[in-house]
Amino acid sequence: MAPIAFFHYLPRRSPLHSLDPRLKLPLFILTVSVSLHCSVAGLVLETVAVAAAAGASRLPLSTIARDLLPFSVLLALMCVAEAWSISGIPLLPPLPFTREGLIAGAELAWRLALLVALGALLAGTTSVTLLQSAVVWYLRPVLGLAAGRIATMMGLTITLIPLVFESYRQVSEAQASRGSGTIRNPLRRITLLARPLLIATFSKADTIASAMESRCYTDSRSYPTLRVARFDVLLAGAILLVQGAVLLAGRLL
Amino acid sequence: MGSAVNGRSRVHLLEVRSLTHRFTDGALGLDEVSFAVDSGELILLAGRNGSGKTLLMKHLNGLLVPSSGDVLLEGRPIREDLAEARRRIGLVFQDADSQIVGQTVRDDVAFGPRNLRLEPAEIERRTNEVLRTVGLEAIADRPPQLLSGGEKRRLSIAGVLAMEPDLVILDEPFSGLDYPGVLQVLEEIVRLHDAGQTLLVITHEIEKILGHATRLLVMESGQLSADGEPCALLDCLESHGIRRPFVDGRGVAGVTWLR
Repeated sequence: MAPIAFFHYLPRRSPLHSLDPRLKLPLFILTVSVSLHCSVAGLVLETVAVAAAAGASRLPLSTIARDLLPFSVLLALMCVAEAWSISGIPLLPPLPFTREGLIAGAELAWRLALLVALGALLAGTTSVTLLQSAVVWYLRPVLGLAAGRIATMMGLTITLIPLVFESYRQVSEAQASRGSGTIRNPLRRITLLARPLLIATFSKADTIASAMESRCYTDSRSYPTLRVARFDVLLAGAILLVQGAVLLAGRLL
Repeated sequence: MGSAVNGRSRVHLLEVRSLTHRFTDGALGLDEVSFAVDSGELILLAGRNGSGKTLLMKHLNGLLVPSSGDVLLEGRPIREDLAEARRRIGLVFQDADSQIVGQTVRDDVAFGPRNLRLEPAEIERRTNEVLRTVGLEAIADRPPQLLSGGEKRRLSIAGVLAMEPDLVILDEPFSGLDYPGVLQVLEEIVRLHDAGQTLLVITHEIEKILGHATRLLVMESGQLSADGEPCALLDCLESHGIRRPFVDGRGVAGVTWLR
């Protein structure tokens, strides 16, 4: 079976892979903030930009899209919830679905889908060690802040996220092979899934923690030496320009 | 410290003294286990499931604290300097997937040296050397989840070797591997031993490796029930719940999956 590609670092030769993490991290935060607050016209531009970046990253996009498929269910549910809760012109009387609610829900789902795509791009093009290096580089000068510990927590989180997905897939496949698909009650299906998923995830996390401890893992480690290349500065400048254009798009169009 | 030889104290690389582990529910996991490991040995630790082999392994580099007894590294209790003990005693866990934490093969090998706060040049030197040694150099930039079972097991050994340990302990290194995978790992173990590495291999599949072992330890219900040369223990293995391997005309030396 193909392994899960989402949230895994996949080494490739691409501009996004080689971009210095000290530039990549703040640019990621900026792009996320802009995606959350821009107009619909800006959202269109941002989507085009993210799609172009995804293409340039040389990541296996179809595999990542397959892994992200469960998110679409979540986004669809959010869309329905928005359509249900916001007042306006009813779409399917007497049901309280409104046109305004549906538009707001679709916009929210669009923004969240962009965030997930950006997260997948960052995780796929940047190793945890490099991300930790960037975090330590930024936080070490701040007195009283345990930069190493924060970087460790971030690294562990990124290491453990694919573990939860992998456990989810294994547990759900094991249950499907025993006919869980015939259970109609969604609450019962979730309950049946949750217990073995929690046990498997905690058990694996415990083994990983022991293995890391046995290899002397602490929050005080050495990190790779980082260097900003001229191309990195040019790329960062281009990304900044795009984000400026995304913010301005709503006012100009 | 150490055992007395001709009236003089002999310091072992690793010595386990009356090690006892009692679980929180009162059950006894390890009961007064004592043995020593000397440099250059390739020791097999065998025993049926639940006999306490993995529990013992976790005590050997201080992942667990004993209820009583001690583990000594060159005569000094490991609890006095756990970081040093963990650098010098490398553990290779049974589940390679859970041991591999790097996002590429190279990244995982460099994980230990980074934790030791070595200089970047030294980290690179060790990483390249170990990757070459275990034959993973060509796939150094591949994500570990894409490796075969045998490659993953070799990677988990490489990750420990990069810390340049004095003793490498492997927990069930052949479990879940197909025939080529077993051969890959077995060749690696034999090659390391030939190069002078001290190894403790925990396995119940002794027919794959017994011919290469210098000593055999058998555990049963948390106790060390036998300790001696493989040929001397061969006939009593069944009484300890371990299948006696087939021995051909070459004797115990022929009990191996390597030709």
